[in-house]
Amino acid sequence: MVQLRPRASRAPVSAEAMVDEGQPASEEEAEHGLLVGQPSSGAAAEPLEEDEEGDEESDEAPEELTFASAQAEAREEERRVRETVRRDKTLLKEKRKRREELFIEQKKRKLLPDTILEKLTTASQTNIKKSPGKVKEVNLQKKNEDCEKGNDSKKVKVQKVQSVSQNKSYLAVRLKDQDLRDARQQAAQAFIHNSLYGPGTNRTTVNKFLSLANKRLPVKRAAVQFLNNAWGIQKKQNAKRFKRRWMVRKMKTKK
Amino acid sequence: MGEFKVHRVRFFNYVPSAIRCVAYNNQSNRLAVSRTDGTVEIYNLSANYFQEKFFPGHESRATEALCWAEGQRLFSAGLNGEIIEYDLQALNIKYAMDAFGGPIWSMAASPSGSQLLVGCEDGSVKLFQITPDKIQFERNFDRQKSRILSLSWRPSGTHIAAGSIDYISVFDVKSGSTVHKMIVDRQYMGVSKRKCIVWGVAFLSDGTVISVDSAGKVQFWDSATGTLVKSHLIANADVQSIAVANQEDSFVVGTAEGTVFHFQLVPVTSNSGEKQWVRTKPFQHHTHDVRTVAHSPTSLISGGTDTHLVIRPLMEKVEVKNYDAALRKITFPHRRLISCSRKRQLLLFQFAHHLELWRLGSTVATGTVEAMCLLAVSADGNWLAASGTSAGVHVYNVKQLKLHCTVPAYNFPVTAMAVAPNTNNLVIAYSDQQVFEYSIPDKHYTDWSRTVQKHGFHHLWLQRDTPITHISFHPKRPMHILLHDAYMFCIIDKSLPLPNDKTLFYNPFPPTNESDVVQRRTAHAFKISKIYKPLLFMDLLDERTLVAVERPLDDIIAQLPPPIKKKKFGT
Repeated sequence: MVQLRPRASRAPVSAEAMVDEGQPASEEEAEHGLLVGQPSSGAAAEPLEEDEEGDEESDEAPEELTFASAQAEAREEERRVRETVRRDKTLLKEKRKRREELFIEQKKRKLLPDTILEKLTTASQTNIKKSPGKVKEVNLQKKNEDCEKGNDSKKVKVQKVQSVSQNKSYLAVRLKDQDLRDARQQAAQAFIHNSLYGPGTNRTTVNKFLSLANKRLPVKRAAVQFLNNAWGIQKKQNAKRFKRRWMVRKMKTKK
Repeated sequence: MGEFKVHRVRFFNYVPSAIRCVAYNNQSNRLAVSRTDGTVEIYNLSANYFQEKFFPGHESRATEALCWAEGQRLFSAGLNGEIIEYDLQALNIKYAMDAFGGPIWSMAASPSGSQLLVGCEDGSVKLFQITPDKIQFERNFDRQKSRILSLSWRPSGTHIAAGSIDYISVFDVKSGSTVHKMIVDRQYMGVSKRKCIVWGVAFLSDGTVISVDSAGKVQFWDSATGTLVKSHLIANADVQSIAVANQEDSFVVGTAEGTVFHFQLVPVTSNSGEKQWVRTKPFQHHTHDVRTVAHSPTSLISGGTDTHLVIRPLMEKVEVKNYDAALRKITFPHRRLISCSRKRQLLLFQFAHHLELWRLGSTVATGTVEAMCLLAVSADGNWLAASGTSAGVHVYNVKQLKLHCTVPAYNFPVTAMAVAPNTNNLVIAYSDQQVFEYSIPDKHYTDWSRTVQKHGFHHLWLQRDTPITHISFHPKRPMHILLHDAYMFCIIDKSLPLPNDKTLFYNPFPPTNESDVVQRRTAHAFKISKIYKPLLFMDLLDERTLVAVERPLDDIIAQLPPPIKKKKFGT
């Protein structure tokens, strides 16, 4: 059960409710700039204020406000609101400007210095003029190879960079290319290992191979490497550990 | 001679790497050998099979194919996708060009020597033009489905055979398109699950293509019709390499079991003109896979995973039947990999990627003579002798930093040099087993050297097949020279008379057993001992101590990869 506040009169309650609704509405209107001295809303606001004051001093007569003063007040209100809006806008603009400058600077830092970029662009132009033969090669390759078009463009890029860096001692390569290259090399090595030493091949150990002669001698001899010290390593380690613990326990119980 | 205490060192864990490719150059009679760790060695076959050039390698440059092109240019290609040209004068790599086809499996130079063909992982066959300073990509041939593992040019230069997995393609060079695609059976008259890899192809001028594959077959195909003519099953394991002679009347193949087979074109009957290919000789000189073979006009060359390089001269091709016609097996390096510091009793072992420094027992030594592969410094630091690939040994005066004199050029390369401590005589050993002594202050050969040259060396001395790799001297006895090769070490006593061909060269028994008269009659200047072998290094530490570094063959074999299983009756 909600206990309602004791109501002195109906009118003030409704006035308060109206006041709560009215104020946010007026603020919104002010922000959007629609309110330009609308006397009705201004007039609507006043009696509510009056009513509030009237609520506390219900016996006094309401204040007398002229239309001009009310209008002036309303205009002041609007001007203030407009000012705040303008200030906010300029602030936001400045913020955005600063952010943009920051981004530009960061991007500039990321790129190479201007000198090298200039060189690259001029070099690429002269390259294209100098070596039509190279371009022909690239075209032929493009025709003959079915896939890896990306590769061709990479080739061209790599060639260009190589020709630029003649006076400097570096070479620009993409890391993705290196991974691809390594993967292919690994695959090739795996292929040859499988075909020579993989399943299905008839391989034996060097020990067995050399001991074959010993087996066929008139007096048979042992294998070339007879002892296998790598046998049962885990078992031997476990036994060692157990022995150590057992000794310690024995010492303890003896005491 | 005296008695010595010997430090016998066997802990130098030297394991040579497997031989991957061999390439024979006919004009200069030289052999290029590449190994799995990327090193390339050049052997001069006419200079007593001496290794004259050496390119140290790296695993990333491991080669899969090696070939000579026109003008003595050497190219190699590997799984990193690059074609590398070697500079034989400067002993470095000229350049490495990426072929953009993925890992390269095979390479062949055209019969004219001006074009290079490369077979790649992605199935493409690329043609490169060899320009005076570089190579240039020309065009691609038709792309195949699987990797191209072997290539061969027709001697006329019009067609190419490419071996792949389960098939062989024949291309026409002018158009670049496939003429025939010949399917290879997976097993000899049977079915097998494993793919048949065509490890080698050879194209003869009459249009026959010979292929060797992983099922152990040698097959003859006719390239005009694209059909199989004859099939020989020669092994239970892969046949991995093939090489044809220039005259096309014989070829050699190598198998994974270590056997090398010689095929010859013989007439069917003694007077008929018709000829057929017959398997004539098997050779079992290897224990592991024979990955590469080459055919020179007079001999068969093979190399593989067991790291030996075997050169077998063919009896019917050799004119003079002397010691030169015997089998040569090159196992140990021809350069010195060990250095010894006498004062500090230290041994320095040179491996492919690192050095090891070991300390010997504790005795006092005198004098230090440091010698590097082709340099020799005198004990007092005044003279420096250097021999390079050009002829002649130059002697420089270190104090005045200028050339002092030049030993006259000799047509064989130098294998070892050293300067005697007191007399400043330069002792040089050449690859044909000749030893010269040159006096640096007097700028001419010494009298002893002239006498030796006039007299000539004993024939057993000249027939040794490993080169002398180190010379050193006794500090207190200037008449003694200590030198060694892989199977013996020898002390030359200049005061004793020289042996002629009839004297007993190797004295197996110690001289104390015989009477004085016999001793005086048989004593000669060359005192040889074969106790320590195989010797990698031997030096004099001080007056009473020697150090000998041996490398038993069994220790090397124990570290090789697994060989093919052989079934023997009764095991």
